[in-house]
Amino acid sequence: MAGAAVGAPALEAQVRVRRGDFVLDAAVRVEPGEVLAVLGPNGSGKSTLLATLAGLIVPEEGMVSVFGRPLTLVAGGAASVRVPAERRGVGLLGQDALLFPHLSAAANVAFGRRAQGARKAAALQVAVDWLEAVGLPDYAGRRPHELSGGQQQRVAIARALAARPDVLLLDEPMGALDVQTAVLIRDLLREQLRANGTSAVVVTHDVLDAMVLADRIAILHDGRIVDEGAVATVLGRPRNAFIAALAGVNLVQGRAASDGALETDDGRRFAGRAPVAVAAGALLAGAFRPSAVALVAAPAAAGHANCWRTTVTSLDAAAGGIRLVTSDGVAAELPAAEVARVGLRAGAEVWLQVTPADITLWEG
Amino acid sequence: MTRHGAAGRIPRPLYVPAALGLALLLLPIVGLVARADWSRMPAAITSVEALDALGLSLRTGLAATAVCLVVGIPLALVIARSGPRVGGFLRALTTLPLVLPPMVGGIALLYLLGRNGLAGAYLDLAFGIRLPFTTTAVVIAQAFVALPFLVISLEGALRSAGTRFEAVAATLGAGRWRIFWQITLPLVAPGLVAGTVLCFARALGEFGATALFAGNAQGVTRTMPLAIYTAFNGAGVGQDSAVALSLLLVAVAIVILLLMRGWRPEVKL
Repeated sequence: MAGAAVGAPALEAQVRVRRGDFVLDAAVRVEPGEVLAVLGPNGSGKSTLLATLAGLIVPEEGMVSVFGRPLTLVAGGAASVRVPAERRGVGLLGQDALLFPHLSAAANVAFGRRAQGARKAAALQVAVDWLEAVGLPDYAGRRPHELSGGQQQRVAIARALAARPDVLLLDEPMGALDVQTAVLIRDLLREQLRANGTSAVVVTHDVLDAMVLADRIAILHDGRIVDEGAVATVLGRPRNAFIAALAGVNLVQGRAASDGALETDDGRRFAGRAPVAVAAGALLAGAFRPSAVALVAAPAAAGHANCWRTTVTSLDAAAGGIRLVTSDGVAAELPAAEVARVGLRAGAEVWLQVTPADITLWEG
Repeated sequence: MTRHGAAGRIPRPLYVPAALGLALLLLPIVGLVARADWSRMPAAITSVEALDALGLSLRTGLAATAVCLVVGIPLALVIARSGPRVGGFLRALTTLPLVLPPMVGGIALLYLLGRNGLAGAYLDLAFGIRLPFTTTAVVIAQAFVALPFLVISLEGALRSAGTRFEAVAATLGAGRWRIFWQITLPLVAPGLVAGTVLCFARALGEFGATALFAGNAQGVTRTMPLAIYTAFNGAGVGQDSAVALSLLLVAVAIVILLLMRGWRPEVKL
């Protein structure tokens, strides 16, 4: 792209957007060839962030640049740079494929190249190659309504990548697909983003999307990025209960006891897989999966590590059993038969246990 | 969404008024056909007056439709892409000729473009252009009454098509003109064709505004409806010709409807 600066990040943005009472105030940075996942629940500002990067929303204050080329620059309430969507070099792939219904699959994929000035024959050849790359070699002449939802999304991926965007924005790209199709499309996206060295931002509420697709992850909560880093670090050692919930793990926070175990303010003790070399009294955090939690009979001695008494606040059906949430915020997944045997109801008092091997402890 | 289930949900008595409605639409045409003197039909239709009127009607109707397309597509686009308040206001303005009696439209055109009219006087003085009672006046009168049909049907199609496809096209690098020609217009092609056909049919049938603004001169402003009116009132060729010309217009209308039904968007690779 013209004006690309050597060593500049693929995407750099620092924007503040006000929508009624909601304020998005976030900064993101994507290195060339890197995929950044922005993970957050509905209403956290993901779509607003993406629309701002795509140039569909002008921020109240801030900047967006791609490979050092400024696309949006708003300072002191005045927009000094505002490059329109068609000249940003920023592609967009949403949860709906939005294939042009009057064009064949090949013409859809060729559209970007044609818009960039390629000859019809050359653009169609590129389109045919791309359809092959996304696993649809025999579908060039098909119209969108003749394709399944998964096939449409494959064509949409080919169309977005064939246009050679400097940065590709993905907005819940698997959001409209059934589970089996989503798995296939997620793998295809990972493969194609890697193969083409595409710099991308994927916003999603699905932690699996982030794990499969992204190199780095940013957690968006109430319009702010609350944590950012390598996927394994951010999700494996969640900084707060909110991120832990997104990652699907339980987070406990407290201080180090003299034996290296974690002691919470309410007196629960958690010994981890490996002791952490910290002074007694230092801040500690620990995480364990809901499926690692077991239901036990009352222990003989009080103050037993990794075992605590709590109250069930809710019960829900979950994959592989029953998910219960307790008054101290811990989620546990138990086999349905066991829940039935004990006759658990909301409000019941139970003893829970997690073996040390299932707990990761870290300082912080 | 089963086809056979839908009919069962209509209260049966409603079939009676439905049949009456259909009869109201079709029986007059049956009457027209019954009255026709088929032996004199060929002579009536091929008379100089009739051929003049048919030729003039087709020429002016096509010209008026072309004018409507050139100004109507942009107008529909502006209305569809405006906010609800501006859009609603513009839509109401566009609908005005639709609810106005065409005669009133003719008088209004005369007071705007007539020799002593608001703009007409200026046109005459500055350029020596006198519009009333010319073929151009016929086209203007037809475009005046036909434009709303095109704009309203196209605007509805544009609004339901939305702007999501256009946004995608922009992120793929397409500029405004490319999006207009390759995305916006093809997406509303069915609405555009339907609107154009309605517009042309309305232009062909236009009588009131033409009569007042353009007059009734054979070969210049006497279109089919005016020729039918003239013939029916006994001047010129007589009532048999009026019936024959009417049937000719019915035939043209049927051909238009068949063309419209036969139209399907073609596959593009």
